[in-house]
Amino acid sequence: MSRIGVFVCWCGENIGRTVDCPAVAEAARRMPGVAHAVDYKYMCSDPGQQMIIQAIAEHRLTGLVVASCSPRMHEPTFRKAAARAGLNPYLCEMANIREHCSWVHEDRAVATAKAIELLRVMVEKVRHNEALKAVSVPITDRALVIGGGIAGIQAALDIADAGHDVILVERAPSIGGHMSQLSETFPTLDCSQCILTPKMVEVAQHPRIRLLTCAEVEAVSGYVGNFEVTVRRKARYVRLDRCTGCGACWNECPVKKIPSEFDEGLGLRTAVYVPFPQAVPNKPMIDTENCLRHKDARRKGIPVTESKVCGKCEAACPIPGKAINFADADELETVQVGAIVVATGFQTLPAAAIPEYGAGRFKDVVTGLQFERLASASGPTSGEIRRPSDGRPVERLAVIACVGSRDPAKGCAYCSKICCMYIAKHAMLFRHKNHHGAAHVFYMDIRAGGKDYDEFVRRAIEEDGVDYLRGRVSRIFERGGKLVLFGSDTLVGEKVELEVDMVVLASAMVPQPGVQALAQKLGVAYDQSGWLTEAHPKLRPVETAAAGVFLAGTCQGPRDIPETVAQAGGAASKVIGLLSRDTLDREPIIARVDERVCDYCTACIKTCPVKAIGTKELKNRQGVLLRRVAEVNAGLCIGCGTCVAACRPKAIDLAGFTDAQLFAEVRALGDFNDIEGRECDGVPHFGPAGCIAGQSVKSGGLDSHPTDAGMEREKHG
Amino acid sequence: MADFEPNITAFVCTWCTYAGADLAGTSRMKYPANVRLIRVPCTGRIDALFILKAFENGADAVLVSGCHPGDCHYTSGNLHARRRWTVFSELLDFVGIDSGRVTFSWISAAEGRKFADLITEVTAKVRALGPFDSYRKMSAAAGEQSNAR
Amino acid sequence: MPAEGRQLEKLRHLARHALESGAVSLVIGFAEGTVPGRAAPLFCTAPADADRLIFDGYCTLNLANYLTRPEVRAHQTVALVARHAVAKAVVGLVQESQVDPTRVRLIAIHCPDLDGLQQDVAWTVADGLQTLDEFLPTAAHLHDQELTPERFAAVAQVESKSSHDRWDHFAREFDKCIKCYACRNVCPLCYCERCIADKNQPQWIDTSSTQRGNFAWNIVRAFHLAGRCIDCGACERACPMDLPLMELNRKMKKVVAERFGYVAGYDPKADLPLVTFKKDDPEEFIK
Repeated sequence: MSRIGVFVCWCGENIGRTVDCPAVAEAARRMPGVAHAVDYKYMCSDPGQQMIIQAIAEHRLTGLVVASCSPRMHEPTFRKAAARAGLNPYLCEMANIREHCSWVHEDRAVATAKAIELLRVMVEKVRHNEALKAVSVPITDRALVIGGGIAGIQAALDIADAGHDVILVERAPSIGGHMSQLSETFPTLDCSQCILTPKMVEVAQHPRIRLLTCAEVEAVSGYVGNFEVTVRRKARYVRLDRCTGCGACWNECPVKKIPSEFDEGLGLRTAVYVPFPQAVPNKPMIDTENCLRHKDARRKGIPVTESKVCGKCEAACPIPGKAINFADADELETVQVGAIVVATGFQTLPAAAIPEYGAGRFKDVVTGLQFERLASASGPTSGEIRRPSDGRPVERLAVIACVGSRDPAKGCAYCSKICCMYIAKHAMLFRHKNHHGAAHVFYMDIRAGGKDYDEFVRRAIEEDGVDYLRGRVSRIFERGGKLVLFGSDTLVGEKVELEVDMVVLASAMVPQPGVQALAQKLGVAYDQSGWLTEAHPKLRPVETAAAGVFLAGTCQGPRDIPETVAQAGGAASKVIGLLSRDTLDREPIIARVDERVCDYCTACIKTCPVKAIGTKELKNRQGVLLRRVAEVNAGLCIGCGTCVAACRPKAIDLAGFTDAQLFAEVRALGDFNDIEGRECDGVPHFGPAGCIAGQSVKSGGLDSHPTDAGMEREKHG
Repeated sequence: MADFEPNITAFVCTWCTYAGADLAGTSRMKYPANVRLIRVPCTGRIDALFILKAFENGADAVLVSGCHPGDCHYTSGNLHARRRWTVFSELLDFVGIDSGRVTFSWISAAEGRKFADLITEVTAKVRALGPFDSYRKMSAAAGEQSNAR
Repeated sequence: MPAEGRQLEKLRHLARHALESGAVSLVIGFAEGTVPGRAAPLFCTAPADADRLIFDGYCTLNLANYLTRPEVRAHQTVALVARHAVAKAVVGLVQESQVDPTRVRLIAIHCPDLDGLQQDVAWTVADGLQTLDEFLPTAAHLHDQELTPERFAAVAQVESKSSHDRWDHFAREFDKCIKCYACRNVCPLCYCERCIADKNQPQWIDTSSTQRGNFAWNIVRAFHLAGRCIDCGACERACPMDLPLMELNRKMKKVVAERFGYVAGYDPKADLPLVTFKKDDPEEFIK
């Protein structure tokens, strides 16, 4: 039998003025199951809590209801008080008679009546509460960082520096990401490579970082603290353990005219190649699409090891035993990690999405990233701004902002955020390199929020004489070897026709292809644009709804380098906080399956937002499969209860918000006009549906299912 | 019917609508005292059975409310709930339960005003509809004769 | 009817051969019932049993119902004499992991229209034993018949009434219910070992046949079948009190089709509409 203690708080005048607290306590004493009820000025005060603690011992209380403020305010306070008195904290509930009652109603009689009902609901709930234990899960002290751009590099370094092992997985043959392609960085114009490459080298040399390049995440299972990740290590055809990066192979490779990805198609590379001179690891890979031997093998349908074509790289390799390895193959490796940082970055809107500006059609219409390569001292033109079409120097440059960005028709309703700054930088760099040249910028708005950012744009306009035109370009066409832009200057209210040598498109940032598939594997949500979604846009910006998975950098949405680095540090500190502990305590508000009732219809498995429900095979002693049932992973379950409502036979339930508790709460509201508890054969009952206790005994006899009979015994036992 | 005060049972998620109701309180907004909130973690936890049981227990109307799409603390519990409500509300309407007896809404933790306004609106509407006698008077014991409406 | 006789011979031959060859260890079909105009389910385990198989418009039970019974599950592979509604139920059971599609074979019976329940229906037997995947393309064209207005005539008639009259209509109908659960027993998708209606602690649905209990039961059953009911009508035919159960089920079918663009029984790989969602699902009814 329940012995519930009820503690009615005045909250000074806050509740006491509108609600007759002694009357509420008096009503509580007549409620079934209540052994003790008092009212007091401030329950949350030290004496108030002492009062609760004493009452628990004195009256041998089996549950508590504190009728005071919102549980969102003081539930932890009173649960801790309960725990101090040796009562399981989950046997304590709160009735919200302040925010939901005294503060919103004026009539004292009405407010008091409502307070009594709110209290009754919680008393009925607590009668069905169970002692719950926090779920303790062990933690694997190792992190996985997905993506080796500046976000992933920073996160990996920060985590590793704190003394935790890190596995850094990068899809490309080298880490570095987009930042390694940039010429200079705004607003300081320091060389991107100069500040990035030391960090890349640090990653390669860090004793706690294991770098896996040419690798992708294939599958993810497990939960916070205990992920099991399968990584596909793609065949590189070069043995990293042997190769010294001497360059003999790529110097000999006869296929020399492949557009370089790193140079955004403006430079050329060989079939066995290092993407750029400062690559980490600085070791080549063979591009199977273009390698003559691979092509031959594909054409003949034979294994590449059996082809005799070319092989000059292998012949040129000076390493004893050869570092070139045509027998290489994809490998799957499974790693155990406790936390995951997603840092998959972005790409720019593909040219095909922007036909009106002739991207991909006119050679001298380039993307922002292509311009970075042209402006870079290590780029295909050694830093001179020349036209990709004929190599002639550019005299007149036009830059178009918001290409795709802020344009729902292109699927990018958002602002790409970095473009306003980098187009100012592009125009500025161009003017620095060509003092006689002219730079025009077509913009919609200038968004230069950030430290020294607006100053930077002003500098471009005022000191470097960049011509900013507020308006859109409607179309671009070629005329006499030049590009002609039709547009408008909305500030002057005139049409503009401009003849230029080159056009730079500030195309929108879009998520990396395939990131949605990765997000699904991780249980991370993404928005309509494909950006990964944080757990809370303001208060939990680096966490995700999947516990133990964190976000860094542009996979979450457009941002610049300083923000990316700061966020990567934030994600790293969350990972460090998680990995610094041996075990993890989780709220026991989790779902549980009654295996006797489960039919394995899989509705719960399919509805679970975090993929916390899996399959359990029930076998007999001989190991023969009897049937399958749903199984909740306590480490992964976040306690939303979506599965419970999906379960038709109610084989699944949510601790803390069980069907029995909610049923009791609804029943407690039964017949508002007949709220006084009445006695009948010593068993309390109320409401139009008759005696609660009587009914459960009666129907318990009708029901033959062992589960319910068992539960019945537990309840009354 | 002037004296009729409806009983309204509300099922709300703890993260958004319950918090929105807290905000209405903190902001001292006034609204009718006819609604009783039952707190659940997420709208995804709200079962159609709750709504029927509330009616059986004398509720004149039921309110169900949670986080706006995209705001769900659990990412998609509310989107599952939305599908269930779509079907269940049509079913209740089909069997002749006035749609004014079941209200579905999204109220965020920041929408204290919306909460207070909705409670005021729903209470007024249910006052006009009158007591849900047709449900309440359905016999709960075998053999009784139907006296629906 | 020589044509029909040939089809019956073919049906029996397929069943016999399936058992003889060991392709299946059980064939579920129909035999003559004890009363004219009634057919009884027949469980053939020996090739000779196949000679008792019949098929006609009176064979109305949805045989997929038996697939979830322990005695049938004990068989490695089972063949069903399957008119379209039976196959649709198998699709539903596959979607909910109740049936392993590799362990079911269909002796498919094709009727010109969706139900094929008229007494003089013209039916043909497909050539050979089929897997579900082999069968599905041959019935895909019937999808067009699922949402014809005629199918929803009774629903439309109820919809045309006032809310008040709808309540009276269903109050009258539900009042007849005797809670015999025949609807549940014949439904191939009501396979729960312990139905919610049999659960107490807490007891959501009043087990006795009171007005309240009847209302709750019939509403919850319709809701639990929403998006899952394959519109075979077995429940309504089984109801001894003639409750218009398909009014509820077809209403749910209509809502699910209109709102979520889904018709049950055609795609064993599809997610059922109430265990999935779209971010932009309609929500005009939400304030």
